[in-house]
Amino acid sequence: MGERVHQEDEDKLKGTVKQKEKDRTVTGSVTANAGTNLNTSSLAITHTEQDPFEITGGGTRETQIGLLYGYDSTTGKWLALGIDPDSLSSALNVYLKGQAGNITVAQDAKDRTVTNAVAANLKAEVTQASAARTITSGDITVAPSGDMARKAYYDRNAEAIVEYASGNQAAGQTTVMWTYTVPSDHIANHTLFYDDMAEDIVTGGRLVIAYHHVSIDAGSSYSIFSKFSLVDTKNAPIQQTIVSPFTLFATDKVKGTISNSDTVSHGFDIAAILAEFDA
Amino acid sequence: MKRVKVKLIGKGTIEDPWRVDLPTWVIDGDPDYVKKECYVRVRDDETKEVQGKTVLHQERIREKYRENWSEFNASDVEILE
Repeated sequence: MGERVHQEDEDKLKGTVKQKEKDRTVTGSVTANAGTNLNTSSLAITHTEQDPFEITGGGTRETQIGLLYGYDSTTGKWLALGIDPDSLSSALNVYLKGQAGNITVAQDAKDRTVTNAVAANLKAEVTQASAARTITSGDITVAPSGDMARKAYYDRNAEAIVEYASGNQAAGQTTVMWTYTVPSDHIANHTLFYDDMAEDIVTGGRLVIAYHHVSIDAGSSYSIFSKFSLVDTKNAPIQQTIVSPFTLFATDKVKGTISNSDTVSHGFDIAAILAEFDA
Repeated sequence: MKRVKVKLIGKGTIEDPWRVDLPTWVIDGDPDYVKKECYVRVRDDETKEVQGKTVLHQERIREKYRENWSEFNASDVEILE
């Protein structure tokens, strides 16, 4: 996230913090003179509601508004509050959803496109509870929330799952050839189902069926793909490949079943391909 | 994947097909419907070695599929070899 920089210019930073609660507004202010450490100019906010609060602040120069960080003493985390690049000259509006506790707000000025450059080796000190502390890039963490952007699924420990069984299904038998259950804290993208019934003539009136069942939330399973094999010519395999993308969640499962009501065995292949990754 | 020989459950009908009572597995080869046995492949992390023999990792399966398998007992699936 980059180093925090220290303001040494002559301009004054002044901001107003408003905390919105259900039926009242709490207003505070923070003022930092140019050249002073931010730990003398941060504002401690105590709030008891898990409500977003608005921070409006501004300075007289664009260099003064950059990235805002809030320290939540309840979680011990520094939270990046974001920036409003279109309001650099007069006001910065950011929103933070935090837990009950003390939030210390500090401001970091960055070397942006400005008229007076800030020296690159400057650091800022911000207040953390009662002790001043120098923040480096490694100290800053961003608390995850439902609104945070996430990595694509293939970058979340993705693993290809191939469920494949082949053999000869005996006469008069129905067997689940494979089952895949989505583990806890995981998601699976189902992409392909394939089955192949080979050889032998199916006796008239008999059925050889490949089922692909899906069970959602460990409930009843539903056959979403099934094929009746009516091979009336020897050595004439019937094959189907279905590309069917859908998403499964923890406890959902898929299974491949071969049912042979014929009086002879039948060769088969039955498979599914999924991508499993962290939820 | 680890290969183990297990007992099948079920009756071989559409309503009650032959199967194995595990969350994830794949049949390996043709089952023996007379003895009600088959080889299955199970995820490596869901098995462990005990005295040179591959057994189901009960604790791992309970934790990995905790929503519905938190009370899984490895002894419920008879490992034959």
